[in-house]
Amino acid sequence: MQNTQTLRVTRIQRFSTGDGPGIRTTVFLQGCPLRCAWCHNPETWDEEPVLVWTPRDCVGCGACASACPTGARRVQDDPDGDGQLVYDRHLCTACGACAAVCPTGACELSARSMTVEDIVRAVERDRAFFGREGGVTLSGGEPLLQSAVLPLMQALNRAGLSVAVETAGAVPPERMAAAAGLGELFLYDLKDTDPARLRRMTGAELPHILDNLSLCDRVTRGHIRLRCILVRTVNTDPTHYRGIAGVYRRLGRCEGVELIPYHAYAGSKAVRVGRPDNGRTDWIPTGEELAQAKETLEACGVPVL
Amino acid sequence: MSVSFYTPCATPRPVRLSQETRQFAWDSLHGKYGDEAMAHMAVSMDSQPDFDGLSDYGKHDRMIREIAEKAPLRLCPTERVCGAATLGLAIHALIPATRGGQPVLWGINHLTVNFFTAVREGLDAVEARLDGRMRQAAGENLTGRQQEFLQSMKSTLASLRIWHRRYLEATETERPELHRLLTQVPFGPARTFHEAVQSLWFCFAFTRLTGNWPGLGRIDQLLGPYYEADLSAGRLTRDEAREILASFFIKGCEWIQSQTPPGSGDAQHYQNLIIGGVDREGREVTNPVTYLILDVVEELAISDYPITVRFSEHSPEELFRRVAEVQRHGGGIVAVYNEPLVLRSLMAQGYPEDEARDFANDGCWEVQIPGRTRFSYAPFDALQVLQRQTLHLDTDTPAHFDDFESLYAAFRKELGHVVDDIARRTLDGWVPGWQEGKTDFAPAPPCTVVSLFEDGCMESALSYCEGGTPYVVISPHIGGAPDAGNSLCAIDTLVFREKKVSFDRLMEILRTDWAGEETLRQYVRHNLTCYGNDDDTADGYTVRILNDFADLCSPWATGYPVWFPPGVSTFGRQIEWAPGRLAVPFGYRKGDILSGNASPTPGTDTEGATAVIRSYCKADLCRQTTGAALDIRLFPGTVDGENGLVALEGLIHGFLALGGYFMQTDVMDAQVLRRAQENPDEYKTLSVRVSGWNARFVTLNREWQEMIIQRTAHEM
Repeated sequence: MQNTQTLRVTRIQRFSTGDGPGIRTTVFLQGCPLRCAWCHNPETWDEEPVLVWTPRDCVGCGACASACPTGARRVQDDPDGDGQLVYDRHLCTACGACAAVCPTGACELSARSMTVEDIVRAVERDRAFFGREGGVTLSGGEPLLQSAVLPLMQALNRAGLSVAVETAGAVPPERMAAAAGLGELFLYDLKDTDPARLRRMTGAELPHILDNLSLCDRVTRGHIRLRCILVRTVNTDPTHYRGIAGVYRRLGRCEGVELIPYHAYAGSKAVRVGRPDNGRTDWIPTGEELAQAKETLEACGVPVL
Repeated sequence: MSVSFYTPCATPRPVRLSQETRQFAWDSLHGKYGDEAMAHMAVSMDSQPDFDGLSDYGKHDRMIREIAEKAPLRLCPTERVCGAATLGLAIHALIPATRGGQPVLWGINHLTVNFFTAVREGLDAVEARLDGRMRQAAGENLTGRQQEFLQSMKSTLASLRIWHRRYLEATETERPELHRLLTQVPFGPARTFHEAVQSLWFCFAFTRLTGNWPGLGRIDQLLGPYYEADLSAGRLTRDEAREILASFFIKGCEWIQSQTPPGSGDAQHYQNLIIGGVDREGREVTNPVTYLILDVVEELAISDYPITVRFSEHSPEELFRRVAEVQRHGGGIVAVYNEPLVLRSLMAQGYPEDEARDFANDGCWEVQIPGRTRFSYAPFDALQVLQRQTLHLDTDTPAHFDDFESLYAAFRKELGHVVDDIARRTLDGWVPGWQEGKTDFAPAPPCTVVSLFEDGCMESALSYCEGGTPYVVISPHIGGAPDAGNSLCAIDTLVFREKKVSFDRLMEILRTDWAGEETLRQYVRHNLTCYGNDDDTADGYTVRILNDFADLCSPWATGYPVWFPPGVSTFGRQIEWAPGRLAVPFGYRKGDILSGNASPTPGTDTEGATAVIRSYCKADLCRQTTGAALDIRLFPGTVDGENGLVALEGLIHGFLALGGYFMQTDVMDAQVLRRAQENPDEYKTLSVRVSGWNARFVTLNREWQEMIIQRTAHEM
């Protein structure tokens, strides 16, 4: 039976070696309920695709202006009377007409629609490399946000592919419960254990995140790894590390914690979707801070993976 | 002072060897012995007044004897085996003996000889067989040249004995433990692991000293039984064996100089080793020596013996893991063969199964039956066949085609002419009467040293270069196939499918190097999917070229005294070909460096290493009998930690399952290579896989360095 349910996919990345064990194909899905200040993939925030605009790739051919139905992309005279290509994001409906004619990819939609079948077929291509450990990782955005993720996971299971999910847990409990039964590994983001700070920096509610985590832990027959981003001066403090240890101890299927140091390279990507540059080098943790985090966690009996 | 060896990997290289051995390696890798050799380029024949009047064999034999008598000896304080190739001209592939300051003869390379019989039986046994052969010759109708050749073998063995005697004398009081080894080998059969390594090294060193660059082949198969016998008799420990083997490796890089003039890189002396795989009876060869070899290169970063591992899905799990552990340190030292596919390919070519199972290579990856094959290859540029012969882009009147299939048919016809030309020209030169069914080879310059270690030469009384070996192979090698494939894909897409530009206009654009057509060029660069992204349509063009090329070679495969099996390579020729190429329709300009071997054109593959492997495996690589190489570059972060090892193993498993032939994996960080360009002295031992060989990055000239940096690197 053909599965024609569709998902909005921002990217399919093959040969991922950092998103779970072995060689994996990572499927990035559009849409995220959180607004993390340090987000690396801000083009995935909206539920619908947005226009990603990369001026550096523009050759000024004007094809986009001719194609644009709303005037968001248009040629406008500057004070010297020369034609200037402008982009007015407020008028843009992300219809994709410009992306379809852009010769260089300077205008691109952040996501395309793919059926469950298409995605499974794309993942299948690397089956020869997955071995015993590899497989597919669903990421985002928040991969559990789109309802069609459940039939996707079922289809991947039927195809005998190991499914890992990179989730931040900010989804309805019913979705989490259903997904937990379908995934083999949950790379579960625990961005902060200080409720006020978590709300301020990401928009997430800690009790909601922790409830879903424990739900996932009860339902899944697979494993959980806590993924903890370390953002210098934000959450690089021992109280948070002890908080992580406390969460870890309450879980039955958690293998340990992966520490993810913040990187500054997200900046230009935010600008390309019309948001302020959020790349901050002062957020990059030092080697000592990383070591301290690892040490504190290990002293609390938490395996650092 | 403690020494360390470069790695791009976060995990440091292990330390298992003694401090003295590590220091010995450091000295050798930094050019101490290569500099010594360059201070003594050659022996001189000028004091021999009758030299000019001698026959070619007469000259050859005198030169070999003079080298044996006069070449400087070298005993390194901590070496566990002795003998050294101490004359600089040998580093340049010449027999290091000059007349009037000029070299006289070239050495031989691109072959793996059979030293193993000499090690097992001893050179005295070889000489006894030769004596028997010479007695038997009296009753045969040998030509004068055949008699001269047998005489030259006798003379060459006598010269080897002279060189051996000099080392016996030099070691007698100074290095008694080495002296003891030399009293047994190489003239007597090796009885222990240590003797076997000494014997192998001594034969190899003499062959190198006389200007030849042979590969060694399957040394784990040779050495494993000696090791296991010694170990069970309590004569040897694993650590001792590793130290002995390390000497063999360190001495193997004695030609490294401290200041190599920049070029295509040092360390390309084709001294390939093959490890793992099955033996003639089909039993797995992998043994403790296989792992000791990996230990040594993992620790010392010695890349002068490029190593290829014969893998199948039946190879031990541990071998996959150990190869991954060595590969992640970069340098591209350890490459892999898909053994079952290579065996199928060789048997389809006509080799008997037991001989096929012996396969090794010529020093890069061109597969051959070691010790039984005269080998060479004939490279050509498929892109220029398309651009010049087919499209006439180098003239004022480029060709015109109304549809894709007529264009392809014309290209295929030109490809056929190239193959036919290679075969005919070779046969005309080597086997002058071939068209009348004759099989005698034309006289060629003497090459007795390698002929001593080739099966068949003594029996036939013919040298390696005159048809003495059971197999004589010239492999037509197609280069630039992905560039030609991408070009055809672009023409088909732009002209015939999308009709974005007319055929004639596109030809004009290519002749003028995309001048004034930046928008179209950008469109092509961003929208055309090229070979290497696992797109069946895009890959189809390159696959078709490779399969058709194999078809075009098949009439020449085995019916003549020379075999012409196909293979795929550029070996870095994409650099020397660049000036002769024009702009390509997939958006690159004249002069850009394009694809290497069977790898994607740099900058056209965006889907990662697994997609590249899948694209590459779509051609029927079994038909590229002498090999088709894929280069994979990985960033250090990708192969870090336990998961990095799992990923490297996964790439090998996928490569095997999908039908790859030969894959060389390098781990490199472009930023580090840039720093090495700026501060070469700090990166003297940083090795990279150039093509079939490895080289110290700093010994490459700027063009070659840029090619390495631009190569596809697959992150994440």
